[in-house]
Amino acid sequence: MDTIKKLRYRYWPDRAIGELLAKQWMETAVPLLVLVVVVAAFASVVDNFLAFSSISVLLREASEIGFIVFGMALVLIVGGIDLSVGSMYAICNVVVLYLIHVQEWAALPAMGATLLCGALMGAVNGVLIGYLKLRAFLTTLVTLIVFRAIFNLIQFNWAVEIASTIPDSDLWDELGNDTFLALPISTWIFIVVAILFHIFLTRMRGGWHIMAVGGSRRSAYNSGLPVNRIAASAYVASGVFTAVAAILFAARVDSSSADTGMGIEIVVLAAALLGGIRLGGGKGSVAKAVLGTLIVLIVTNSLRGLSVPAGYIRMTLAFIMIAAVTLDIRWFKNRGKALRELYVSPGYLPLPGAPATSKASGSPYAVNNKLGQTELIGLGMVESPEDVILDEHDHLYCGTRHGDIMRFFAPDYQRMELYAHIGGQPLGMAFNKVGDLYVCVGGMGLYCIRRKDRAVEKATDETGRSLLSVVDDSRLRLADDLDIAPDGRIFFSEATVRYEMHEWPIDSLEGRGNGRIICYDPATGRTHTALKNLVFPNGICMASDGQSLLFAESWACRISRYWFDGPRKGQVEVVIPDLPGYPDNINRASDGNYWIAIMGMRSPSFDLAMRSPAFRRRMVKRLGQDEWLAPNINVGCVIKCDESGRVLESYWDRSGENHPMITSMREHRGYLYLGGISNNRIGRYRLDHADPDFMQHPIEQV
Amino acid sequence: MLKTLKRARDRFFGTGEADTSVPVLDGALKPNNLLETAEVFFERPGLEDLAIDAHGQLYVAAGPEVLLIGADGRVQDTIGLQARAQALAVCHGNLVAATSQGLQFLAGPQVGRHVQSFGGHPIQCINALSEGPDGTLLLSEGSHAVPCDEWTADLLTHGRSGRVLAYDPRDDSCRVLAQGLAYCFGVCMHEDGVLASESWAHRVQVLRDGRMQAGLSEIPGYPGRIAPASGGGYWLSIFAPRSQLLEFVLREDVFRKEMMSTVEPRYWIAPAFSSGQDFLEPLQQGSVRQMGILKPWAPPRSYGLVLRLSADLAPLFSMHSRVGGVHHGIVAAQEYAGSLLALSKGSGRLLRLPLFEQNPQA
Repeated sequence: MDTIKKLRYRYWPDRAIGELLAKQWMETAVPLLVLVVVVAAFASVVDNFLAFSSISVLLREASEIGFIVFGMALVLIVGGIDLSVGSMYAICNVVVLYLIHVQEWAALPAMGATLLCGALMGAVNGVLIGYLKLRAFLTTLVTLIVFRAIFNLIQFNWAVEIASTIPDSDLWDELGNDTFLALPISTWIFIVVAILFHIFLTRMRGGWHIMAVGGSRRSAYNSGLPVNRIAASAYVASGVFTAVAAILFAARVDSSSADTGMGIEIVVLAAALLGGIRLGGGKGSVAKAVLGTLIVLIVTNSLRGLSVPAGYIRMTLAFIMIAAVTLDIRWFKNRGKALRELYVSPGYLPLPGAPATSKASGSPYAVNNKLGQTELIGLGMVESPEDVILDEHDHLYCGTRHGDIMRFFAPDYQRMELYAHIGGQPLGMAFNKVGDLYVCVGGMGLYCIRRKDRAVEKATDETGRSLLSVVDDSRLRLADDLDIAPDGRIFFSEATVRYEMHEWPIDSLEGRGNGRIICYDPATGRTHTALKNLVFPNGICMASDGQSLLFAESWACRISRYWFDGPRKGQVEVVIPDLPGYPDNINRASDGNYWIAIMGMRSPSFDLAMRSPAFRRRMVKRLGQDEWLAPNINVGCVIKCDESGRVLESYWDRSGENHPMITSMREHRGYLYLGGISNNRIGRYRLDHADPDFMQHPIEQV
Repeated sequence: MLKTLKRARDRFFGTGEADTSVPVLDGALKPNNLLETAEVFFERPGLEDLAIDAHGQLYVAAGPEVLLIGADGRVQDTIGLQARAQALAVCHGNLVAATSQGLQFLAGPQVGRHVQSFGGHPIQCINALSEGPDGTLLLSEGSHAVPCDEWTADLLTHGRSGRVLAYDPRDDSCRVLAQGLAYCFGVCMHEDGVLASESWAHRVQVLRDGRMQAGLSEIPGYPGRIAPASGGGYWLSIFAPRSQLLEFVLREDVFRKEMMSTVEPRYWIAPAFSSGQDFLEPLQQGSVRQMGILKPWAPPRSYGLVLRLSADLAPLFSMHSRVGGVHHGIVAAQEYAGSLLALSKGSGRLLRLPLFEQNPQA
């Protein structure tokens, strides 16, 4: 039974589902699915649905309507709506026909003038809505009526003249009727514009500005964007896109009627909404607009092909719109919740029995009160000193959650100064041979503070991307602890690739191999992943042979040794398989042994939960985060072990007053310095029989 | 079929049987620190119950002893018991203690009497005693299945075998007033009926003429012993808090069974009289200390709470010892010499609170 459970949680892609849903393009996948379903449904009932001629007709129509949908999409993204597209379309249509048929302009200037005409009409909307702050819905409703009235007047005057002449323009005819590589010219134009438009929206400054204004108008304003101008220009663009559609339509049909563009705004709006472009603004893409257009046109054309009365077709469109809007609202409201629930994917993590810790047990882990008399440094002056380190002058360095490296001055450590500001939470630290301080920074990567001028430099923040990972795991999310090999290479752990710095407790509920060990070579500047699929790898410490390192896997409660060089290169061997708690940093002791910080203790019910992934998954879904079971990181200790993994002794603060929570310890000249990620102090403990000159990272004077 | 569908719907929406919500501490239950800051009147490990006789003398049960406590808080006399005390009361002049061995009459007209069983069934889980009408003694029996100490097992197995009994010492007869309660812990006379705390159902029942009716329900904790208050109304001690995690675990049958069979009872996911001393206890994310501070609104495993009820069982006000405090697991609260004594089993302390201070109306 356990084996089945184990295999199921090892190989079933629980993680991928949540990660896929978190992808931006998943929102486009829904309309794509709808399109496939629609095509499949109508292909089976409509005759000649997949015939080339009917596809060609559909594409021609889609490229005309598609341009208007682009305009509508822009306006929707910026947070507005444009109902006047139908009337603008009609006017542009009659204008271009009048210029070519009656005024006998050449095709190109006539089209240019029509585009200008569309831009002008869009500008009316833009000025009213963008600068005068009128409501988009009412304003465009009014311009819909006004433009329609103007259209009726000029169409009445020009219709006969347009119908009575036939233009003599090859370009105009080609635009209307020719094909290139079997596709209509208008479709090629549409494809080119769509690609350019996509690049504009996703890769260019203007597109980003439009997205920003739609996403949060206030934030866009506060970050200095000309909000009014951007909103207005979206309407102008909508006018121009409508004009393009009108020109293509005019070239194809070559005549004008009184009902041109009537009700087209409904079709366009339905297409945009069905594609997944939000009414609220800030979301939308070219792919969505295209998909929406295709779906709506396939539905309406096929229904027409089935001789469904026009009224019913309209009604179908209305239903599609209502359904799309409802779905969109529900999805948008619950998306975060659904994602959060699906993202956490607990794994099966059976732990070996925990060794006894009770006072009477006589085990090396037995609780004592050695740390009860710890001297406190910087009480209330620092927050979250995860790691501490000392230099050759005994000055003490620690990180804080404000993103600083603080320095306490020897010998009394009463005064401190800001050594360097990094910006992210500093975690593990190590000096290289010349005294440059390498720091793992949560959420940022590996950083270096030069000794000579305290300049903060990024060492690395990315590694190779895994082949079979849904999320891009090349960025470093939670660099945790590091040590430097004799040849200068830096090995550091990344605790998890699935959670951010402040979310690391959630990773404890997954208990999966989400972490890795990464190697950065300052000589070449290259970074590569050395070991993958580790369960919250945390502390790293070079072993005595200079060819291997010890590393801790927190949630798996074990210490392993990894050979990165020498005859055993690439091998991993578990050194301590069954710690009674969750190991954090590892550092060297002066007697050749190793210090290991135990940041929290295992509890039997949490261990049981780690063997019950389905229980944890339901817990994550049903309960708020504060109510979840958690590893007990309120109490910890420091243990000392030798290189073979034999645990020698442990140091506790049983009273829990001074230093119950420990994530790191550093031996330095006869003292042990203690850090804790949720502490507001640093501890200092006098070691008996320790080498009074010991420094873990000796600094050569240069 | 319908049931399966309903269950699926409940699971999806988190309603019905999948609903793990817990009533919030608000209104009359708004948290304060009155219990935590109260004066410690008497301290001894294993404190269990208290009783005050007609002369105003205070007896407390602690471990296998009943102690007579003077007004200065010193022990004046000690009476030994056969086993650890589970309840204590003064009833029609008799000082009675309940242990796992049954009832022991320690002083008064029936002194020396020892009742071990009713109708052939041993009574091992009597957890509260109270004076009843017509010379009777009201008994609350938590569970038929488990001894008193293993109350968490009863909670985690959805125990429903609690009873309210009326014992008449004059003719040694016993009458069952109610049975099938989800753990009964506390009885008290109420007008012409009897109040009984039904702990696992988070309510106080009113028994009248053989009928049972909920008097106060949706309590955000597990109600315990009840004592009358001067000026009408009652003191209800709430011995443990409800938590969403526990509500969830109560619906997770497989996990719960495995936990009960493989984990030591004191480390179960279950409420407790005191917590936070042992790192092997389960911990919730909200209870992780930040900068050395445990938030008082963290999800509780143990809590101190006494609720003052009006004569018609409406909550009036409450006294708290919040998360991170020590005066947890209040199992008894009674008025004594113009003040309120609250017995914190979690800390082994008897707390004294002035009566006037707590009543916002006074």
